[in-house]
Amino acid sequence: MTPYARRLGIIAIALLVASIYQMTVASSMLIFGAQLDLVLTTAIVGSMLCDANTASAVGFTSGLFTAAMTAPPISGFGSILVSRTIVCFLIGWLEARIVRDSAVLAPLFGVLATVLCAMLFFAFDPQKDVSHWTVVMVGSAVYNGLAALPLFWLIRRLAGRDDTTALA
Amino acid sequence: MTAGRTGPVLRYIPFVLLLIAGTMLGIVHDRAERAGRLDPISSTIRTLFSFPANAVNTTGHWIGKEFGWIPHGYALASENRSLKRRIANLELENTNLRSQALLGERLAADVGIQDSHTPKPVIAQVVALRPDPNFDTITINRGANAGIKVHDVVITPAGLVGQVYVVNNSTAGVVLLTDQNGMVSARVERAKSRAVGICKGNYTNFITMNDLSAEADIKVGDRIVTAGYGVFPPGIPIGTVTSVALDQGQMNKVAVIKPFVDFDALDEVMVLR
Repeated sequence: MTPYARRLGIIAIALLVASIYQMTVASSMLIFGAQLDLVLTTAIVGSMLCDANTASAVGFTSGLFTAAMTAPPISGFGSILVSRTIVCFLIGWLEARIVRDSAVLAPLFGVLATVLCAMLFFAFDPQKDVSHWTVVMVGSAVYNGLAALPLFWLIRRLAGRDDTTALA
Repeated sequence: MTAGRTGPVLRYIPFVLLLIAGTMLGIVHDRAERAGRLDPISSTIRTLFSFPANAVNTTGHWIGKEFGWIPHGYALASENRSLKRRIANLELENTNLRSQALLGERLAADVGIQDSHTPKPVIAQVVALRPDPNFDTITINRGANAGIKVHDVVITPAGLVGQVYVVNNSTAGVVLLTDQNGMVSARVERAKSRAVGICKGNYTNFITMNDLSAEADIKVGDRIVTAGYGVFPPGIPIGTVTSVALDQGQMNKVAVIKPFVDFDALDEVMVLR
C-alpha cells in the first residue's frame, strides 16, 4: 500500500468514526449551546492532507454521511453535498499551491471553512430562520476551529506527512 | 490522484463530476423524501450506520445505568423519597382511572358501542439525535418493517416528541416538535378554556403557540395538549405555558410553551401507528 493510499484509508476511517460520534454523542457535548460538527472538521483536516480532487471527494463523502444521517426535512440534501465538496476542494487547492502541511493553519481552516460551508449552504438553500442559522454557524465555526488542531495532529500522526501535494 | 500537465478544466474533472453527482443525488433524495421514502444511497448509509450507533448508545446507557449513580451520591436518597411519593399519587390516580374506564366500558356495552382496535405503539431506540444542528431531527431504529409509516406520531411517556417524516425498512426519521417544520394543533387542558392554537418549534427548548384569539382563555401554568386535528390524536401532553403576550399586531395572543419532553435526552420513544 502506498503512503498516499494509506493516508486516504485513515481519512476514510476517521470520517466513519466521526459520523458515529456525530450520530450518538455530538448533541450532548455542547459548549455554550454550540455543537461540534466532527464530520465536517475531519473532512477539513483530511483535505489539508490531499490534493484538490481527492479533497473534493473527501468533502463529498463527508457531505453524503451527514446528509444521510440528517435527511433534512423538505430540502437541503444536495446543498450539504455540494457545499462541502466545494469547500474541501478549495482547501486541497490552497494546500497544494500556497500552504503545505501547516498545523498552525488547521484552526484557521476549521473556522473559515465552516463559515464558508454554511454560507454556501445558505446560498443554495435559504433558511427561514436566519438568526438560528447564524447562531449555529458561529458556534460550530468556533467549536470546529478548536477541534481542528488536535484532530490535525492525530490524523497527520497516523497518516504521515504530506509529500505528494506539491505535484497537484 | 495527482494531476499532470493537463488543462485546468481537464485537471479538475473529478471535482466537476462530484458537483454534478451531488446535485443529482440531491434531486433524487428530495423527490424520494416527498414520497416519504429515502433514496437508496441514503437508506443504505443510514442502515449501515445505525448498527454501530445503536451499539454505542446501548453501551452508553448500560454504563449510565450501572455507574451513573456514583457522581450523584446522597442526592439519590432525597430523589428516591420524592419518587416514592409520586408513585403513591400515581397509583391512586391509576386506580381512579381504571374504575372510570370500567364504568365507560359498561356504559359503552349498554348502548352497544364496540371498542375500536388500538394498535400497540412501537418502541424504538434513538440512534441519531440532532446530528446536524441546523435541523431538529432524530433517527430511530425501527422502520417500515415494524409497520412505521410517514406521519406516524412519536411520543415518550412525558409527552409529544414529533412526527415521522421519512422511512426506510430499518430506520425512520422523526422531525422534532422544536424544529421549525414541527407543527401541531393544540388546546389548553382546562375544562373552562376553549383556547386552541398552533404549536410551532423555533429550534430552542421552548415552542410557541400561535393563532390564539386575543380573547383566548390561556394563562401561565396551563397544560397544553394536542387538539386532535390532523394526524395527532387528541390529549397528548405537549408542555406548560410559561408566558402569554399579544403579538405585534395586537390581534392575537402568542404563548410560550416549555415542553414536557427533554429533547436533549431522548433515548427511547414510542411510535403510535
